Amino acid sequence: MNKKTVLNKLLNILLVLIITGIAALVAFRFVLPKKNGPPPGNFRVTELENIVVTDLSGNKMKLGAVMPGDSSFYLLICDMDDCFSCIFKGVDDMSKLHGAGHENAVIVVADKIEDVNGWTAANFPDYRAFYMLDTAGFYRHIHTPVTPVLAKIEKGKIISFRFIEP
Amino acid sequence: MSRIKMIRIKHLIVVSALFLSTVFCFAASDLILVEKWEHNDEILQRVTGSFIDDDGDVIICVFREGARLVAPKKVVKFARFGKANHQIEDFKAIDSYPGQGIKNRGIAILERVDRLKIFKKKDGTYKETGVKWLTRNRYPHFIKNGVYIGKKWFLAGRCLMNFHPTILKQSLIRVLDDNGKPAGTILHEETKQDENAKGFYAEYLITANRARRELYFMREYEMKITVISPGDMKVKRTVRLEKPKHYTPMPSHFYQRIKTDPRGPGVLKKIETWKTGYSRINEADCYGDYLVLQLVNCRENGKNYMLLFYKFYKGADFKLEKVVPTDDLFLGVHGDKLGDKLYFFAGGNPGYNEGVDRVGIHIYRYGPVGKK
Repeated sequence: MNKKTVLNKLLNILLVLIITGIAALVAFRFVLPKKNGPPPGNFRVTELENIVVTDLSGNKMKLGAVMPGDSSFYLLICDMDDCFSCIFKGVDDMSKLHGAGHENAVIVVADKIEDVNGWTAANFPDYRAFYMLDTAGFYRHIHTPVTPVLAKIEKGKIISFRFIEP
Repeated sequence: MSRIKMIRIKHLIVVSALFLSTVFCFAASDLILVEKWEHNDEILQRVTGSFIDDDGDVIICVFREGARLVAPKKVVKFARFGKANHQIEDFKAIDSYPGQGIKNRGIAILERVDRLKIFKKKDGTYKETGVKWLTRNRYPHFIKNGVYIGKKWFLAGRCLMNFHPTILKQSLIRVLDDNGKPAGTILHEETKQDENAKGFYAEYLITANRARRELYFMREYEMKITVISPGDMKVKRTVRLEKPKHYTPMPSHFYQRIKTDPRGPGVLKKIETWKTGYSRINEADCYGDYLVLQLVNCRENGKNYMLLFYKFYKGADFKLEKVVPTDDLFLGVHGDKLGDKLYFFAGGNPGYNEGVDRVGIHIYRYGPVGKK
């Protein structure tokens, strides 16, 4: 076998490898179905200012009325069944932010304001900026892989967020 | 002596012999069946909790179904599992709950770690009359059992006190006052993360002896009892209990087998299989001057359970007096004018024992009737 034949064979192998690689790339990029929903870690809120929440007295209001228009605002969204250590840590952070002069609120996903009242009074008697968002409203407006999530909002837009871990 | 007199004497001897043999039979049998209720209602899941109310009716909590009231003539489902009013989300503990006067006494079901639902009896069933929220522990609290005594809830189960990566600090009893505020913790332990599964799966039992104002705490895997004074929430003493002849202990590494993903599929089934292979303590209650424990019986071709009577009167400090094998599931004790009665679910636990699906209650007395 002369040198030229060997080179040709090597080139052929290289060509096959490159074609296979390109085919795999095309398959992964265009042919294979995409996963449904946003990738993990994605957090998105639609019509933020129009979300209707209920305060602890039972009054319904738009979230836009709770948030200040110009300065930054912190929002914690949680469910009563979430990891309680995480909620505790989140509410603790909110109290500290409040102490430092930052406006904030906690949205509890629930369907009965009596439940939110009882739960918050038993567990967080010193922090009262709780609002209830019903389950339907949660699924309509808030898209998050996990709760609790703490978001920083400026001029009606979410500029950063963090999923709270114990 | 005339023939008639002879016949009369013979009759007297026969009748006396019959009477004496009957008395002897009853005296020899320590567990006497005094009442039997049978219903056509079915239970297909396991019984997770029970309570005997002031009227002697039985409240049974069934896994994934909710609470049922079993009376001599009827069975009523009064709190199904769910999130609506008059429903319960889960079942952690149950006890009687005082109202305004004895007539208004109800029951309280601890359905979530942080919520009590209070029910009052009306028209032969229980109706929800109130909700009480409790202050949660910052870290997870796995409540397995609880009693209400001296206006305090004593909740047995692992209550974590830190989230240290290797060593977990925890208390085994958390006490809450009548307003749901923390009143203290009892029995502190430190365990390695390896034993973390104990928090999920190990059962802890607590029962109150209201006459002596004492609480008895037990771990399902240990024949040891901790006596606690509910007033000052202090441990009075710890007593090693005498084991019955056919006791099969759980190995010390039992809960270390589950090392990866303790909530993964199949683990619950494995746990059930393992747990029925050892003499774990299944139920405990006080019967007069006895502490009654029910243990799983692991003998081949034996009964489902062993019922153990430990007496603690006249200087006896939990001395094992009697072991009675039984198929019935021990539900609790309730007293009447003649003394205490032991309530059982006929045939065993519907979730664990084969062929048990109809609701049936067997009521027994231990020893001569009326003796306490």
